[in-house]
Amino acid sequence: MNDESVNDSRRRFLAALNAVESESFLTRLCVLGEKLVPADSVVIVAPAGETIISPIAASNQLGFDVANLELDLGEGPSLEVIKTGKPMRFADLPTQLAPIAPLFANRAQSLGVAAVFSFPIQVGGIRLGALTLLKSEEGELGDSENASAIALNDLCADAILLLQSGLPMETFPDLLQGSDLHQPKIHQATGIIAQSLECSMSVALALLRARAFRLDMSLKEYCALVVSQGGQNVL
Amino acid sequence: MSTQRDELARHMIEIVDGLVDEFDFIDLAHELASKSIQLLDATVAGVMVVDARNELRSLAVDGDLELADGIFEFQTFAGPAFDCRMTGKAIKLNNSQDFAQWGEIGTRIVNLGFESMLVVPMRMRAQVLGVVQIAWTHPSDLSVTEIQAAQMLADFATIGLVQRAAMPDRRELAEQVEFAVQGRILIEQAKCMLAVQGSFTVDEASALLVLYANHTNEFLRVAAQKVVDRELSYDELSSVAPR
Repeated sequence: MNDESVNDSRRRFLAALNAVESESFLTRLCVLGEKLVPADSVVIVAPAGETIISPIAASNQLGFDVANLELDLGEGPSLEVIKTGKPMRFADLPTQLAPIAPLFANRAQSLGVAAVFSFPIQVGGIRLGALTLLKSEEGELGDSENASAIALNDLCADAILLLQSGLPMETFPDLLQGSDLHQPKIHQATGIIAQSLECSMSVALALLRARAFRLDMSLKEYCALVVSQGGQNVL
Repeated sequence: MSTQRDELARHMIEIVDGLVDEFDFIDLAHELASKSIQLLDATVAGVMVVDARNELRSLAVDGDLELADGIFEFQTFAGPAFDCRMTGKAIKLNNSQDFAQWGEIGTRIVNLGFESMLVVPMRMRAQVLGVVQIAWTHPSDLSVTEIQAAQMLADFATIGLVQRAAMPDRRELAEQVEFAVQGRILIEQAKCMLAVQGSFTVDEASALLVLYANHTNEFLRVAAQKVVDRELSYDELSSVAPR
């Protein structure tokens, strides 16, 4: 992998955002993923229970069909990825995925899928879902394809959190220029607020982001304030 | 001198024993940071790795955590840790004047109260996977044995990271690193939930989580996930591993 290639990929995705029209921001990311990774289909699913997923965006009908297969059969790469928190790569679907999810592998193959690459969309304990890339030809992702996939996965995590925070969508392209999800103070503040308000981690992070936006502070600055005050009087 | 060697040998044996068993890299990183403090009488120590985005991320930090947050979070693109990562060579700073060559970053580190530092690379052949950073709030002049001990700890971190794959390639390593990075995030979330539940500091919450994980022989990540999923409360945790 070239140095900086994941960051370069992220910039390329963001530069191309305006060229894709859709009311759904996540659908725009999927369409961009199909074009720029590239893949034959890109789908994002959210967890809806221990063995249930819900497809929330896809670049085309194939993505929805494959996600619905997982939902119907209760097995598949997205489910594995959400459960384990680790990416799953099946460059040769019949050989590699069949031992884990035989029903899914068989039915996906009949839909023309020859390779599947699935990535967890998560921020520590916040399991947001899975990003799955589908290919009609067997083979591993090349280095630049892999970098693009990772960049897209990061963008999906950032975008889902922005959507949950209720911020206006027109602010997303600017807010997505940098990802701040690797700052410890943000995760500490998330834990503090989740416990203080007895809400989930994702709600806590959404509240923090919304509050930071209203106060015209960066998320990192606001979370540092929350941590310094132990969560008192800040929300 | 033989006492120092005996102590070093004891620590290394403990680490090797851990590597033979099933382990999670986050737990190993915590242990290595802790042993760096014990062996070298340091103020802070931490294990940082290069993630898939080509940036240095801290995975585990021990010591004075309030001071540690500073030096482990702003050296992604400059500073002694960054330079060690880029060159693959150990960097040793014996007193506060030695930090001047890093300009503003060096000044920030000194203003936090640090006066000396040792950064050693985690190397797999030509590739630098990360660094172990150790710092003191007083000048230091480490002996050759002490520097070698620090490098040995970094080498164990490297072994721990690559051990899982029979023939580790860069992508598989990157995924191990990402899994570890997500583990760190989870632990940060969990320990702050605990701090609010128990009305104590984040440092104390961190220590309690480590104590619980050691007491129950669970991975830190597993214990942290239980806290985040609200399957493990402060009351239950402290009853198993009283402070």
